[in-house]
Amino acid sequence: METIFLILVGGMTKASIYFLVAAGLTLVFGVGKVINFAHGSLYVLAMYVTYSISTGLFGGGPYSFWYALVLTPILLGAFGCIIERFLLRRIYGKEHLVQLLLTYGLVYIFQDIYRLGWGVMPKIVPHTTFMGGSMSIMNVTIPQFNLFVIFCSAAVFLALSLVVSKTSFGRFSRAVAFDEGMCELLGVNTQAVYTGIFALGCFLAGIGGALATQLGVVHLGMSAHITILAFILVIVGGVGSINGAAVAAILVGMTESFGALFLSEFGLVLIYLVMVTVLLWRPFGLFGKPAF
Amino acid sequence: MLRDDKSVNRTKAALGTALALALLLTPLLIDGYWLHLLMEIIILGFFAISLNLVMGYGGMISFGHAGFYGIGLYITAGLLKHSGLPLPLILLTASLCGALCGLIVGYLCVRLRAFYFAILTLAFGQLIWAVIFKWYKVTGGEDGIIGVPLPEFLSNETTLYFFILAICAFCIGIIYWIVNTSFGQVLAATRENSERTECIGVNCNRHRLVAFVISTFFAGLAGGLYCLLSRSAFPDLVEWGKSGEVLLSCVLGGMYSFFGPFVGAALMIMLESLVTSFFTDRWPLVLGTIFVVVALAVPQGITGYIQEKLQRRLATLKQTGATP
Amino acid sequence: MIIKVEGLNKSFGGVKAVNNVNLSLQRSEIRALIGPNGAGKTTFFKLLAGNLKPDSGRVIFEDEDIAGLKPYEIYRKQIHKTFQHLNLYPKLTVFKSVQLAFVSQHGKRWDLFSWMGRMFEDEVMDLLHKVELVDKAEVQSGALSHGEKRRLDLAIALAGDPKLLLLDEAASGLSPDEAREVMALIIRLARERELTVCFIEHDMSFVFGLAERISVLHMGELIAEGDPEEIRNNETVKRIYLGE
Repeated sequence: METIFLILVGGMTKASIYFLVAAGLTLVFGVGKVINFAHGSLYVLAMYVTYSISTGLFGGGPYSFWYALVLTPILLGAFGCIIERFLLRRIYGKEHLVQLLLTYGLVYIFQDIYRLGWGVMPKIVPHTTFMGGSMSIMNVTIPQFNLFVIFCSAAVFLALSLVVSKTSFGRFSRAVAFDEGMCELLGVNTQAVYTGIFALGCFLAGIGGALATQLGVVHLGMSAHITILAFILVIVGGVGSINGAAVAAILVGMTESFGALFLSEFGLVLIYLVMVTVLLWRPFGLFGKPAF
Repeated sequence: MLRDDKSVNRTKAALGTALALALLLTPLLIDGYWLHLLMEIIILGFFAISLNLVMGYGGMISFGHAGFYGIGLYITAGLLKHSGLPLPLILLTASLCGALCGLIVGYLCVRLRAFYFAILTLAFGQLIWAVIFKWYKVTGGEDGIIGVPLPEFLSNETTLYFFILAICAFCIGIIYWIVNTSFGQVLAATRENSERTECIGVNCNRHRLVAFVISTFFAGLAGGLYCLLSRSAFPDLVEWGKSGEVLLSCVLGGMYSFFGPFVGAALMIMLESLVTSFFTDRWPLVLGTIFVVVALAVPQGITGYIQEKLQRRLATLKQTGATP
Repeated sequence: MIIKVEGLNKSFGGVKAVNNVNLSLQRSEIRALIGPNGAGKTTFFKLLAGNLKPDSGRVIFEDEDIAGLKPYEIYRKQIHKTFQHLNLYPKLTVFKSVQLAFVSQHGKRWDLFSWMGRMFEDEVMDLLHKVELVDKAEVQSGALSHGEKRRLDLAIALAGDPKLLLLDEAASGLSPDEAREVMALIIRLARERELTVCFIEHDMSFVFGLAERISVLHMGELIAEGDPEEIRNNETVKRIYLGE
């Protein structure tokens, strides 16, 4: 029973991080119609940036991580604006293959940037003392930070849902996703929407990456796994759907945790089984529409 | 127009003969590192052409072909090391296993279009990689399989070269044959307009699936041949980086010409060797930059670019010729 | 009787696009299907050709229920359809576009042993001759004029030797002269081959000039059927087309 509960919390923590990454990707995908292979790399970049901010800029003090948690997403969002402005803007509406090539090229470039900037050794972000302890629920000891991650992710989910449904930015985004040409005719600044959406995606990856530094080490081999996982989540959830990304993240996070318990190393295989089952059942994902 | 076609054909035939002669005579001139490099080019070129059957002709962006290549690679390595089977049988087993996995993956993927297909094949490719990477007992995990023994008759480098050249040339010939048959042409039609092709009585998904299986058969064989060359097998060669490399070969060389992918593969290998000999480990950065530049500047590939230029030249020549 | 449609239904959301339609065609008859915009004509054709799956109902073609089959299966039953919105192979030559249809019809789809090359050359050229596209044989379909594209579309549909030909506004987008030419060509070829033809058309001069019988669809329902004279005098039809 205790194990099950621990695994549930572990699975939800994973799911929370996955959601933050997948939500950004699904927005970029759904609105900008761009296949961004580099999304996982941006997430890893966020981890390295968090490392540098908390150990370098703030000297690794007890609260350094919290400064980094605020700064990293902002930096990533700004960086996203630059990438969107100078690279992605040239490939909107092009063949899928061209988009794949360009963003896949970015994956390689980022990979070398990490190595040049931070070296090949894994990096550990000093653990925060605030929220760093553990607490006990129903006689089970749970790290406080895991609960914080779950809380953050849930807050982001609510905020995103509100932004998409209530704000004018959200309305414009949905309109642009639906029919870009019409929006341009109606005077919507579609370029600004694209930039905004991409920056938002990077911002979310920034939060996810920053939080994830407290759960494990940062190393070079991470981007492939998270990139592919993020795509699986987006496809399972349905392109462009925040709710879909959330459900898929929980599904995959739990599968991964329980899979690790029962199948140890081959738990990973279960994720693919989940994906294949969902896609056979609903070819456009749980919340997806056939349009895209 | 007819005369142009003829002269183009003659140029092509001359180029082909020259290339064949060159490939046959090279082992007399070069050896060691350079011959090794040439064999790598031939194998990657063959791999790229087999992928292009799916991409250029079938219109399916497969981002997981390294998985099938890897299956061929590991099966060849394992069988060479632990079984006494004759080499042709081993290579055949490797290809068939590649094709079998291709059948399963293809069955699940062909109903999907465009990027869904790309992502799903990528996921399956990574699944194969993950299994190879984690199944330490069988595959040696990260350490890979090393010291694969070769049969007696291949111990000589030149013989190995001719062995690889012969198999690759033969199989490229088969693929060339396939794309020109009714099957291949109908496949190309499914890429052009699958809705219309359904309406002339073609089950497009089944055509796609068969093309995918054929392609993965040859991908497995390419992996097996690479094992003969490297005498080892490592999980790096199964990862998505390899899928990306062979995909880039196709696009760089040009997906819409038969030999384009081979040209792309040659460029890739030569460039890699050049870059790594000057900057040792900056290859990923250079490769990434090539990806970006190709995507922005020459999405139709090198051969596509040359063809366009040539056609424009021919058109202007015709115009000036028409008004003497 | 070559085809008999019984109680065919198709809804999109709450809208009944095709509502309990019964219709049958005699062998080698030429039938027009008319009705105002949104009457469900194209949906009806799509149901017959397999592009859409009916919710219920039967389509008996030569004593066999073909409702719900895939487009390629229906094509193999020799029911061929042209497209309302042109749907060709822009990058393939005219010759090859038609040749593909021949290859498919003669079961050479899976032929891995012979090159397509000039396979069925005589048949293709013969057909191109009939639709007056011989001199365009080596031109890319995308470079044809609109009228030529319409004729190519027809040629592809005819290549498979259809028993039933469904023409969805085969002359739309053409000038009146071209339209007359294309329609006359279709009727001539149909008579020659004793084809059964069912065509959707908005131009009433074609409908009343060419069709032997006319069926009228309105809001998804079949409201009238008869020879041109009967339809001309039908009160319901008048009301629908002319208003109250």
